[in-house]
Amino acid sequence: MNEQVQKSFRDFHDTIRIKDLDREEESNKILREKRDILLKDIKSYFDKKNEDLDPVDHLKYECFNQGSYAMYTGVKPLDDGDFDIDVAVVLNINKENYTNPTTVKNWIFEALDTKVNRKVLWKKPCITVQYTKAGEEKYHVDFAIYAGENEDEKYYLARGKETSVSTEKRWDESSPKELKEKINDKFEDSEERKQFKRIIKYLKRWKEEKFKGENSGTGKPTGIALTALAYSHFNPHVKDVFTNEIEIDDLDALLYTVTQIHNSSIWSEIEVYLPVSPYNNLFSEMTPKQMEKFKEKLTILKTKLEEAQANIDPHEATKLINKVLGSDFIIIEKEAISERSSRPAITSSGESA
Amino acid sequence: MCKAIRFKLPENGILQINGDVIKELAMFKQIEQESTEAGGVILGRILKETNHLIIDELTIPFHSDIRKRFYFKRNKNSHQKIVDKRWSESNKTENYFGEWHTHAEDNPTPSVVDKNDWKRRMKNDKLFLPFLVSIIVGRKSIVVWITDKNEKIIKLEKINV
Repeated sequence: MNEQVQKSFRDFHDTIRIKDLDREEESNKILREKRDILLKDIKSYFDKKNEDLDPVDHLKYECFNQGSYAMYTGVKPLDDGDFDIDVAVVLNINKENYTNPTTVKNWIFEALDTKVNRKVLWKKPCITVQYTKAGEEKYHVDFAIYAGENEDEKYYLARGKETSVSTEKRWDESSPKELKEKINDKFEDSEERKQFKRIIKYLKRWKEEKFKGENSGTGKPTGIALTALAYSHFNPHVKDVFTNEIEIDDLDALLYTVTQIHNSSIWSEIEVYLPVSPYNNLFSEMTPKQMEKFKEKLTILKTKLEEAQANIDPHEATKLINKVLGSDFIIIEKEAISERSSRPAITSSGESA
Repeated sequence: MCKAIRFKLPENGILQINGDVIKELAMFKQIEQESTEAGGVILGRILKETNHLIIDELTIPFHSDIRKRFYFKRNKNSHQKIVDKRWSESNKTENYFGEWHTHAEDNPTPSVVDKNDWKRRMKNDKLFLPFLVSIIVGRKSIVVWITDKNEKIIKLEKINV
């Protein structure tokens, strides 16, 4: 393990991670305020709606962060992309009483679609508020809407657009809270947990670099698919095995994870199941050709990381990692890590045979 | 890109030839019947933290060099100029490590001429390292020797990972 290379991983992580709106100051103030305004608008909408309803029929709801943002696995998008904040809205309704989930989604749409400068969009799994104002960081807030009081005590996600065909308008079983907890509580030790989250972020940035300009339809794996892969294959590399002293090695941890994923899929396709219900295979949408391409890219990642790990020159090692993780991974300058000499050597002409 | 190759140094430490250098050396392999010997100087750095040696640059034959099937003579000035230039450009970190040349054999061994040249350099040249590094590029392998201050020539062992 090389401390200089580890420092580069640290710096890289600081560059790519999305900082927590509620825990970190300054840079996120605008975003936090904007999200809070949206939440307030939802509140006033339901307050107003409830005025006309019998107290027993009052609509109640709970909001919480979900997705990568809530799992601290969010990565800044490359160049032009915008990043998302996912908010879950769980309503005290039974899905059986709302055969058309878009009726429920429409409440949130109406609650938010109140200002001219706010762009509110219908998307299949959510209602999205898009911010693209010049000079501000581009981002969007996705509101996923759930029915939270069902006979089986499970949450169901409202899916579909108003214009969707009826098969796409459905309630999908979902466990946003459990997922968040599973990922956040996988490791008790804080160094192990933090490394786990960093490895997820490295994989996600790698994916953004290697599938530039593509989307899940053309074979780009989703963030949750990579998160679930790390969930089942990652093993912490934060301690010296013999002395038990703290020795954090992100390169080893990343290489280990990638190797495990690679080895698990030598004779088969890559499969990974959501670790909570509905336990669906997160790679099921990939065509065989897309799967082949993904595995090829994964093999290259593994090879480059292996070379970097074996390389004793931190300059060369970081150059190799930069090739797979992208330009935000800074290459260590040769001069910074090499001894200076007092004069150039003086050599005579020579002959060989 | 080629992979870097690492060798164990006799005292302690590792000598690494970086991938780009391996790639360039491989281009001069004497595969063809008529291909002539090539050679030049090798440049490298000492890593601060570990004292490992990194070979990351080399010079290639100049017109002023003499190239034959079984003979290579390199001109002093042209190669020395590059050593001086690279040393100052690199903030005094890049310096002369030794010499490389090719052989028209699969797994090369140094000739008497080679050995005498290495010993003479060790005695007369003003070197950067306490020893001279010599690389011979064969048709099937790249072999590295060092000549120490007692003029002892030691073949370096490759580290397999």
